[in-house]
Order: sequence, then structure tokens, then C-alpha cells
Amino acid sequence: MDDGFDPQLADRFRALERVSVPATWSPGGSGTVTAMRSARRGRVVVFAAAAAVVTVALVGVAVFTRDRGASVAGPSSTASTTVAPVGSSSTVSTEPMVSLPEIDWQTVRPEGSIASSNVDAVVSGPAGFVATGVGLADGKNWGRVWHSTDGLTWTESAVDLFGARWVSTPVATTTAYFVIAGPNTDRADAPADTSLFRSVDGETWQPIGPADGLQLLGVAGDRLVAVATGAPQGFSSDTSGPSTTAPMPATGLKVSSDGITWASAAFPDGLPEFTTFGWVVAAGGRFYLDGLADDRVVWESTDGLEWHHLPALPAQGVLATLGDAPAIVDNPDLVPCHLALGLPIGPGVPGDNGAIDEYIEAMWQCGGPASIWRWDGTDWVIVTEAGPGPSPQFGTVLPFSGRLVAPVITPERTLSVATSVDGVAWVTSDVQAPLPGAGGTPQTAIAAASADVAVFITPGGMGEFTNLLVGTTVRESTPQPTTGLLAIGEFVMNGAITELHDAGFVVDAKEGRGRRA
Amino acid sequence: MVQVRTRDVVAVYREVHERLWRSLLAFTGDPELASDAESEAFTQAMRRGDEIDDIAAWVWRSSFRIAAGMLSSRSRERVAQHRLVADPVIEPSVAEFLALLGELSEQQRACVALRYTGGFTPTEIADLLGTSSGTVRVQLHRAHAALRQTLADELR
Repeated sequence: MDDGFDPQLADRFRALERVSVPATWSPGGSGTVTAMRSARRGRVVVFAAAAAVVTVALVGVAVFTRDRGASVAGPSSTASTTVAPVGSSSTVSTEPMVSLPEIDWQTVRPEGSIASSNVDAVVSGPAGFVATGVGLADGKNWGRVWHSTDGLTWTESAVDLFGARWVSTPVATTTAYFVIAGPNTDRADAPADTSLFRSVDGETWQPIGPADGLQLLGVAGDRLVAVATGAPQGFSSDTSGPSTTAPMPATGLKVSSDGITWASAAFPDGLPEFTTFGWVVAAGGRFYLDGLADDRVVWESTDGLEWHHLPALPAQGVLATLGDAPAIVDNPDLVPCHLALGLPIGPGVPGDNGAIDEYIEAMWQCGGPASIWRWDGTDWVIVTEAGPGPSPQFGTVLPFSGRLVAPVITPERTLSVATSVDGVAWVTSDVQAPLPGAGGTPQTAIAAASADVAVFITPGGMGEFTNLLVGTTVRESTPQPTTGLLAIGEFVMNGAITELHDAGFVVDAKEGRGRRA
Repeated sequence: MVQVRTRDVVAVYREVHERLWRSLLAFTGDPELASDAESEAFTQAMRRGDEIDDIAAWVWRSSFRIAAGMLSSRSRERVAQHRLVADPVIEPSVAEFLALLGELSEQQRACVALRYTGGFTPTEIADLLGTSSGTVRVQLHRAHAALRQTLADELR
């Protein structure tokens, strides 16, 4: 028997060396790692991000993968000590109702092009929401940018501008939205340039400068923060949410006030050569950047220009905000669960027809409540080991309407939302939106919140319809009839407080007494 | 929590990526699927952390198993629609050669891919595929014969 080597065939195999090799993977965050491809797939993988796919949990790389999701969380107004009333469609909180407005959660099957496209990222800004993604209406890729003021109806007004381009993750300052868009090689009419586009209203966009090799990560105040990837981007709309997929290695972090002139950010603590960046969140007037150097790192900045690294992270989760501080949302049960289930891919397990399906099934079965770690200014402190969940994927925690909201995947394989006032006690809504049913691993929704509206968008599936889970603040709290025996002045009435209000009484429900206004 | 050995896995990725991806391309004939399989293997390697002794061997083994599973389970159908990143350009001559490899049996393809693109010996291939070196040599022999025959037919 020979050594199984044929020189002539070896020559033929050398032809493969002429094939350029794409980057396929990069380490990520959230619990484990994210794989670029997975994230891209709708969810197959990460990192986000984490990811972004089904994402999460992973901050991917090219930086953090698809987790598709999460939007950049702006300065938080959460951490309220008051108790959250829960919308009529949500699980009722056991805590007393007081000052927070209600949230009306509803699921929506949107109309228009967003319904049948893969939505990769969404951000809240000065004129509502802007989402980006990929359309496949004619079998070819379309770069898409949508706008919505209420989270329910979405318009795509810049079809001619972005159709022949890929469009990156959007970011928003207090005055404008920004995306980077470049040539979509899938289309013959693709423009040659890669540019930064700006919009004030989310509808009309203008190119304001070249952006070759740049990838937006977020904003620090009104400064744009981007990574210089050192390589041309491909069709990278999978850079969902904070989960972006910049080619490695990054060559540096760039900051710009106008989108035209970019300055290099400083890292006085040093920046390892092999560094990838995730995304930027704002909390407590400071900015936090997620990244991966030798290990996961979070850097802190007051202005976006100079970044200092925080101590080592206690977990591998997704960077989010909790009140006025950054937080790490982790799924500690994920890896042990995978191990316990004995995923079918590994030594001794044949890669037969069912292996992948078994693996995906195992991923759906895993997951539990999240752990949340909060940065208290000197160290990472665990807030809760029973955060939002159960879920095999966590994308983010967003401040919204005086409380925290987080997308979760239910055991029924639907998308729901968990809310919390303090980050410790979480309630999962009864409202559930369908997730893509074409298979694939679980992936979290992309999410963003404005002052009055929180939007969760299901991860894009192959040919699946997009579903929205939208929370709207009900500013005028629905009166809560409370029947009881009340002393009103000299009267004793058996009625409802609302009726007394309507009748012109000021009621002290605690004392059970009232007086005419 | 399982400690993720990020640095170790990243080091392996940087070391074997090009060779592994091209081997998977030879095995699958599909750059997208090759990328998927490699990506998934490294993701799994990270998740398994200290459970893996030899990361490189594990990734090689797992990526081929994943690729085989994807080929046979037709997961590819889900993949094909989502071409977000341009695949590498495959020259016509290379595409023809990949098509030629596609005529081989799955095991033969795995053996020649690991032998010629991966650079492994028959004994090492046997270890990766969980079979005997004798079986690998037989598969290589049959693959050689089939490829030589086809190439000879092409030249006529």
C-alpha cells in the first residue's frame, strides 16, 4: 500500500490555492462566541453579535455578531424606584401601581417591503426609528433603509438611493441618523463608492463623505464612533444592531463630529494588535465600548476621544445599560446545558443527516434566566442571577418608559418581552410574536426604544415574514377601578375611586378618605 | 462557568483557517458551505472550552462532520438564499475541478481533501475521520483511480 499521494493530483489541488479565502469566524461575546456566518444566517450566529445566529450571545466579530441585535441604548432614564404597572396584555405585577405609565404591547405583521426582508438593525433617533437590512424581492440583494415614527408602520423612501448598495448598521445622534453604504456587487447598477449617509428625518438621505473601510459602532454624544477595518467591506448588512462584522483585524477606532473629518481615538492603556470592537452604549453621561482583545474588554470614555479599559469582565454576555451604568447580560446556563445535552457535533458522534437538526434542537432547549452584572464605578457587581428569561438568547436590555425591557425567546419558540423596574425582578409579557419557522438556531430580536415606543423586530428568516413586537407608552394611565368602602367627607360610599374622581373628589386611597376638590 | 479559551481558539483559527477552508471547499465544492462549516466548528470549540484537549484536531474533525451533515441534510437550501457576503470568485478551471471532486463518494472526497489540501498523512486522516488508516488508503486509491480516469477522459 502506498502513502496515498499522487503528485499529478497534488498539482490539480494546488489550483485551490488561487481561491481567495474569506474570513469565516471571529470570537464573540455573550456567553460564548459568535460566528460571523451564523449570525449572518438568520440566524445562525454572532455576535453582536450576537450575537448576533441566532444570535446571541455572542458578540461577534468581526466583531460581535448578530445578535442581531440590540440597538444602541441611549442614556438611561431607568432605575426608577417606582413600581411598573403592566399593560393589559402583560402578566400582572404583584407590586403596587403608582406613577409609571402603562405600556401597551402588541404584535404587528408590518406592511410594505419590511414585511418580507431581513431586518438587521434598528436605532432610535431624533425622528423615530431607522432600520436597515436586506431585501430579496427579486432574488438579488437590495440594501434597504426603513423609517418609522410609531414602530408600527414602516416606509422605505430611499429605494433608489440604497437599492444597489449594501447598508450598514444605522446610528443616531440627537440631531441625525447615519449609515454607511457601499456597492452591492449583486446588482449591475451598483455605484462604486462607499460613503457615509446622513438623514435628519429618516426619510431623505444625503452622502456626506467617503467611508471606505469604516464601520459605524455607535455614537458618543454627538460624535460618531467607527472602526477602521483596514479592508473593504462586503455586503455586510448582517451587522445587525450592535453586532457588527468588521473584518479583522481592526486598525483603530475613529471618531468624527461631522462625518467628514475623522480622528483616531486614544487608548492610553494600550491597544493590543489583535483587537476587534463591538458597539457603543451610553450610560450615566459616559460611553462604553465593547471589544475583544486578548480577552473581552469594555472601555469607558467621557467624550469618545479617549478610552480607558475597565477591569476584566465577570461574564461573556452582551453589553447593555442598566440605569446609569453599563451592564453585562449573560446566559450562564447556556454552555452547561449544551454540555448536558451532549450536542451531537463532536468526537465520537457521526455527522449524519440528523446531526445538524439535533444540534439546532438542542440549542432551542437550552437557555435560562439571564445573569446581569453592573459596573458600579469600581467593579462589576452582580445584580441578579434571575434576569429576563428563560431564553436561549439575550440581545440587550433597554431603558424604556421608566423601566427596563429585554427581548426574550420563550419555550414556545416565540419572541416576547421581559420588563423590570430594578433589574432584579423581571416579568415576561403574555404577548408573543412568531419567530421565523424555517429552522435555524434561536436568535434574539433586534430592538430599540424611544421615549414612547419600544420596538422588537424578529430576526430575519429565509423567506419568513417579519414580525414586530411594539410597546407603546400609555401616557394617560388607564384608571384602575378599585372597589372598596371609602369615607368621603361625611359620606360612606361603596364605589369606585374613578367614579369619585369623576364626581370631583380628591381621594386618599391609603387613608380611605376623601374630600371634594 | 466554562472558561472560554479565546486566545487558544483564535490562535488555532489563525493557524489553520486558510488550509481548513480550502479543504472544506474541496470536500463540499461550495464556498458558502465551507465557510458555514468552519464557522460553526470554531463556534462550537469556543463553547466547549476546556472540554477539548487538542483544539486544532477537534476543529478539523468537527468541521468535516458539520459539512457532511449540511450536505446530506440539505441545510444548504436555507443557506443559498442569504448571500449577504460575496463568495470568493471561483475560476472556471477550479470550478471544474471541484465538480470533478463532486463525482467522488463523500468519504473519498474527505480523504483527498484532507490529504492534498489539508496536508495530512493517511494515519492522521484516519484519526480525524474516526476510521482506520487502511480504510483511508483504500479510499484514496479509489479516488485516485476515479480522478485519473475522468481527467484522462477530459484530455481525449
